[in-house]
Amino acid sequence: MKWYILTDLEGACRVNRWDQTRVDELTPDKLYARRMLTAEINAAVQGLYDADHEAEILVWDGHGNGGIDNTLLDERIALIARGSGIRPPYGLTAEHAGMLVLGQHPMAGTPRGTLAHTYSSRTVEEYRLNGQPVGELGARAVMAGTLGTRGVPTILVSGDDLACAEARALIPEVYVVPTKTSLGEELAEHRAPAAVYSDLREQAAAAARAAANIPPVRWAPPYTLRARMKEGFGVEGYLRYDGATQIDERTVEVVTDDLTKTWI
Amino acid sequence: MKWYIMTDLEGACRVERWVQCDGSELHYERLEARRFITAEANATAAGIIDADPDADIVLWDGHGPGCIDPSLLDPRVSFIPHGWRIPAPFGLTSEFAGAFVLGTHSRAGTPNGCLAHTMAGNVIGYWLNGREIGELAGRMAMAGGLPDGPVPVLLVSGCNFACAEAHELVPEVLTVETKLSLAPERAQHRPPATVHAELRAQAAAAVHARDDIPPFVVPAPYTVRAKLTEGSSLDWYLRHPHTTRIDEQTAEQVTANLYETWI
Ligand SMILES: [Zn+2]
Ligand SMILES: [Zn+2]
Repeated sequence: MKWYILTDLEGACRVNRWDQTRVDELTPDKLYARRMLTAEINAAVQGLYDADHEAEILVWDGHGNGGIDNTLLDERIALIARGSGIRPPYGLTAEHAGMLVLGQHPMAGTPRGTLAHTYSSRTVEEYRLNGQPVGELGARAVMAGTLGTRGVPTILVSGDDLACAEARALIPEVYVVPTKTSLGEELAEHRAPAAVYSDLREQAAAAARAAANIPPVRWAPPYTLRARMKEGFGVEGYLRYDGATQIDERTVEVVTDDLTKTWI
Repeated sequence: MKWYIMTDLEGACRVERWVQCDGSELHYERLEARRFITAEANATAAGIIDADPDADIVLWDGHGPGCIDPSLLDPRVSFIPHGWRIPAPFGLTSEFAGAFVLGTHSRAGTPNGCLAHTMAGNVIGYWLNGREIGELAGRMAMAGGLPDGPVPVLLVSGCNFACAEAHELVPEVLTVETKLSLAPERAQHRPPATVHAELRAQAAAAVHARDDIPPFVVPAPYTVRAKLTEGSSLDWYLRHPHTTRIDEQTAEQVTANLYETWI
């Protein structure tokens, strides 16, 4: 079967500072963060193969400036590298039996959330989808749910405790693997990586076996996606999207039947 | 038997950005990319040796600033290091039973071609006897036009566009796709393990099929044309023998020896 893995960097174990994730240059801190995330991906991949020997796995590196060390990434899987320039649904198709979201952080504004943000950590205050606050996880899970006649279920989420809670609130059946306990914007208590890897392997296998019973987040169209910027930031970048309307100085909204045509 | 491998970098699996390919400094991203293409070269060499245990393999690193990590290259392979330090035909002679072209990218101007280019960033296009060509066709024609007899290119690996171009030139040639080109610096990469397994199997198959894969022979004399972007200097091209300026952006050479040209 086909499986899709979406990765971000901020939710990985032993990652808790912006200077590990925001930098474009491959500093020692960034290289370390990439290695930590890549090890988590490889563990989840191993779990998928445990459950499905014929697994066809595609990973998309969803962290803007890249969160995966491609030299260490499992060589059995296909890859769409890095973030910029690619459009939704980011290689995900209705044929994928499930989506796994690794390295996930909580949405912008989450109290004590480590590296909490929504898309742009510098500029975005909040996203709302049909009135409900969503982070990257919620937005992508809903988008996956719109694909095809059934939608693709989000079957496993790993990240800090708050990202896992965010996932469970939206998808009660989802499998989660916490990597750390958030203690503040740049502070966390990290679990033992070895425990995280073995959980990831086990839970990925369990999630793959249960995938048919995990409902996609399938919301009915139309979708109202609203983005609100932090003070001092405008919405110009969003206005080039079809149907985007400016609500006020720092709020923009789009109403659509096709979420993949938005900035989601 | 003697087998010749030439490698470029831009068509390798998990390579998709210029920063992975260009520049003189061996920073992390370039080291990464070198490892990817070197693994592909090793898989190919292993396949050749599977089919011909006494294989005498020579590899030329054809990427300008170099793309092979010599410390990781199969020690059974003879090695001609990178770039333009040796003149064409880059160690290839008519004694070779066949050539393997790895890491191939699409030619300049290919829509959505990942790292598409022809030789340098200021090249709009090259033409050989009126047909638009990229590096792949240039190298295949060079192998097919050796003065002591043609050498067939048996296997081409690279992005989907590069493989399609190889089939257009020689329908019988074997190909291994490394990735699906999506944009100038974007691709969906196939699993390296799959690519390596296919390279090994196809390289062995290519050795066995050697007599059934014709060389790419372009009849002499050769008319080679290069068109550059506005404002580029034609000087380097005009230093080649039998070369004339057609207009501000275009040089043309007519020659009987393809390895006298710039392709
Ligand atoms: Zn991120
Ligand atoms: Zn090159």
